[in-house]
Amino acid sequence: MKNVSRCSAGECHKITNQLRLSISREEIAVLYQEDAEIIANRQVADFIFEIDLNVPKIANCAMPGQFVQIKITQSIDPLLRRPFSIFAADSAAGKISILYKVIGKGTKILSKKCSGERLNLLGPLGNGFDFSAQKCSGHLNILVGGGLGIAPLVFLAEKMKSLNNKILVLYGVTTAQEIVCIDELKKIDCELKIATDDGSTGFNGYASDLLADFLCANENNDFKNPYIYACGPFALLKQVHRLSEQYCFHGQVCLEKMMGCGLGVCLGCMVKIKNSGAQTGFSYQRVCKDGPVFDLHLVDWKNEKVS
Amino acid sequence: MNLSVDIGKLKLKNPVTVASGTFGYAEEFADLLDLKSLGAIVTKTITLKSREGNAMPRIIETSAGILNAIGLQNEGLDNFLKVKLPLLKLLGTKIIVSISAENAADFILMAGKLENAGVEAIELNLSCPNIEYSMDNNSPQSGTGQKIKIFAQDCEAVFSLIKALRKKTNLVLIAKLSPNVTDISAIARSAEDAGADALSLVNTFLGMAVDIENCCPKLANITGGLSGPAIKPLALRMVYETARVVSIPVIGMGGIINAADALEFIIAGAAAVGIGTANFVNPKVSLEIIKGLEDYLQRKNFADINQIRGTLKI
Repeated sequence: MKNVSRCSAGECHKITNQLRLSISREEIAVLYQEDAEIIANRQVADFIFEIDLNVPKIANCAMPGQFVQIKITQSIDPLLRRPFSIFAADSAAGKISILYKVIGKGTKILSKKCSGERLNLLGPLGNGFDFSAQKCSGHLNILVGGGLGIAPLVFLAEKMKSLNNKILVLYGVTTAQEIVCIDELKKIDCELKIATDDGSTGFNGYASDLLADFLCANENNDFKNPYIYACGPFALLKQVHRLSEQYCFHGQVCLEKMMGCGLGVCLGCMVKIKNSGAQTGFSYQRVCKDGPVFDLHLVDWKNEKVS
Repeated sequence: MNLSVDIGKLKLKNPVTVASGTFGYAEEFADLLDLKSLGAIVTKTITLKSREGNAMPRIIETSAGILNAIGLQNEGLDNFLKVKLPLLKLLGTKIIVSISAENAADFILMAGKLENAGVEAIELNLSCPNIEYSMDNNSPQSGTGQKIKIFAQDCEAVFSLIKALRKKTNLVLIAKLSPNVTDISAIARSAEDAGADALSLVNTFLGMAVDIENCCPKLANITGGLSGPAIKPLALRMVYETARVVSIPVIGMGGIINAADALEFIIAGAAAVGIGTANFVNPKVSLEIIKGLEDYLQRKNFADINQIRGTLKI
């Protein structure tokens, strides 16, 4: 890989501030609290489950990158709702699907829930990906997902497919046993490349390595100016940002933080985002309400810590 | 059936308010519930100048509670007056603006601007556990530039501040007290003696949580304020001890998640209640609590919510 910056930082940021404004204008104001019947809750990979929920109002307006807050138990411990990215929404069937990994107390309880039981949902929350024509058309769209970060990207790919966009999906997981969504991705007309940390299938490495290789190989052809949508572990997103500075591409990232309310009032899920206009420096913005999707170039990657 | 209660000269249609810092500036909840049904909305605390707040992580879930160390992040008074207040005035319920400042002069300046803007009531946040206050340099009781952790931990500081504010403003003054004191009733009496119209208690309990894998505090601020059902019995005890020694109304809060919890506070002496952390869990909870209070009055054959206040039999 060549270590050359092909645009000045100032130039990049001028463009991306405009992008950020266009994202915030598309904020979706419709929000519902709905009791959902569980249609199905099944294990799909190691520690990973898919849950289908009957929530007609949320399903009707959910967009890729948005999330729901689920009250997993009536008990006061765990007290807070848990945020989950929306993996699929079927407005005709009034159904949404979520992929989740069993990690803590909340997801463990969720994994034991059976079809027919009910959960209370808030959503759809946050601002989803901007995949309007001005962002997508004329570019190759590269979707970079790490682990369950693939979930909102599959939803995005399905929406983008109807717009006839060229899509490449770069999907990284720890090991082959954790791969999900293969059927969904095959149904979508997109190119798929898989990386595993342990080399158990596909490329031996990270999704960001796949991206670096692609960028290096296509530096002088029609694909040299891709647009990136990324979601996954912080280290992956940081690598994507590093590559964006080297190869001068634009994109959006979907972030994850521990949340209190999910509604924008507790100010517990903050991330530093570059100030717009004449102001220099960075200010805290809410991942739940101002995000979770942010312009790749506006996040304060240098000072953001893994959480 | 009467649910209305008086907080000084502020008349609430019912005793259920939403607590500062848990309801933003209400617009965030507009899609989810009928805001005009609430007794009052207490805003997120405003300071004179904007504040960035503390470093992340700022919020941690604990058993039946939340630890937070937000650090009063807000856009400042001028932005509030320009952007938030006009919307709040349209909601059809009482608005109580929570304010905080480092000294009496700034409190007075803020109160004046809010009064001119048509605000009726302010809650003085004297008790945020996550920032430092400097004592008023002109206060005869304090040394110049002295820093105290929480205003509401010092009877004299509370008295002189509220006395100074009382002289300058006709706003309904509600003092929000800290539970991180030896005797909250003594602080409460100081606030009453200085001319406060009502008291709001309790703010959060100072606490902490440790990440045992990395041997570090879970909050960047090291300590934070604990809220949620975990603190309810502690808060209830303080509301009981305060309400029996002051004659001004007490707005009781701390871990209320349903009508039964709210009734415990009212029976223990609270004139009204504040719903805080529960708003995060169920945005509609305050309306459910209002309905639960009505059902209780009906079942017990009371015509007026004020009839049950402080009816604790000992």
